[in-house]
Amino acid sequence: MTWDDHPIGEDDIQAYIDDRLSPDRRRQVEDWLQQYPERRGNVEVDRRHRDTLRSTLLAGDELVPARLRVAEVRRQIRAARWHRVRAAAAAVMLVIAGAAVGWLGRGWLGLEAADMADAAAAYRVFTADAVQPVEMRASDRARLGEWLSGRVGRLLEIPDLSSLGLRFMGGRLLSTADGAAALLMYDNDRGARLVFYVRPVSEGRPSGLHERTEDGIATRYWFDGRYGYAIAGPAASPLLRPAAEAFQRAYTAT
Amino acid sequence: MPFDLRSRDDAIERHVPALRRFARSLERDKDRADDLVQECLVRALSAWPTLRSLDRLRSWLFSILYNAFLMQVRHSKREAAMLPLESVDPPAQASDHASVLGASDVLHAIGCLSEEHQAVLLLVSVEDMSYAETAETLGIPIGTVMSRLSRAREQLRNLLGGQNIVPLRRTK
Repeated sequence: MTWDDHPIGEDDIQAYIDDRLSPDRRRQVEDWLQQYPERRGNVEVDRRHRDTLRSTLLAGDELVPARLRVAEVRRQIRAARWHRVRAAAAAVMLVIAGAAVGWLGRGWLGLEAADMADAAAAYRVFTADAVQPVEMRASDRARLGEWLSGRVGRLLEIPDLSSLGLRFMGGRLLSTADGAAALLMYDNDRGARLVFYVRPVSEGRPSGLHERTEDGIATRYWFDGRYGYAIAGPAASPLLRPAAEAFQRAYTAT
Repeated sequence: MPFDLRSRDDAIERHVPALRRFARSLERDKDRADDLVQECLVRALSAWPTLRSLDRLRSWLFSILYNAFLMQVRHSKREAAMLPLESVDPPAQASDHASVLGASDVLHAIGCLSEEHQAVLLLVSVEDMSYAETAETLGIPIGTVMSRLSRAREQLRNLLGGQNIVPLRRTK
């Protein structure tokens, strides 16, 4: 017997249960277990558990599902990567669209002093958008109002135009050379859309209500010192005038 | 790369049945277990360059799966922190130890062990991993593997009933 200088340990017992001992060591462990029947009983129970576990778990004749095929997983990874690229590209396009609106507006303002042409440009770009005409939907009205007000620096009223058959759809933030602008969009059951556009303005503007029409888009706009306001929509729409009046009331009252 | 995509896929795929088995024991639910395997494969394919040697492929794959599982457990524990604790039912104690041990009893008992004890027991007993490979897979020393193994078996004994067996007196 040599186990005096290398006593039997817990690791020997485990390796015995797992059948991983050299024949010599195995005999030593067996001899040792002979002297301790309690331990031997436990080892037998452990072995039975091990066998049951193995026969239960290794018995499966199940087929590997298609989604766990490595080629399929590789395809999923590619699809996810492509999806991320597309999402990033869409975000870049939105920034470009916003910048274009701002730039166009600035260009027109330079040429024609103060006609809020960027409202018509925003109408053209965003009401035609079938995927995401608004950045934040009307369902989030309170947050939207808070967000846009914070960015534009003016409390944004979102008047209820349901008496005109117009539903509030939501809004988005836009950029101009003079700072953040906000766009609110409305539509009716027949798919007609109107936008309200508010932007900061840099210098003194003419007072009163103005109107201009270009390419079938009418803009009614006015200024109150630091901001310009505009309603833009189809020139033929009878809703334009009452909507503009509702906004004027909402924005002169505050 | 000396190893083309096709043979790499094959090498990984050979381990899928074992990975599913391991996942199934960790996760009770079959679909969630397969989700875990899928997650493991996604990570493995993305992290392939970090595999140092093909000899280590098995323990590498199992360690990815186990870490993904632990992250899920931690995440769901955070979520569950808001909910009242559910008690885990221990399996019914066998009244007659000589009776044949049901497969579901053992599986249920395994589910009552901690994740760490489950993992060691499954890798060693079912997947036939050496103690060294188990240690590498779980990122723990061999000594810890041995003590967890011993503790896991002791707990199984207690859970599955051992009326005719005197409980082990731990000497250290």
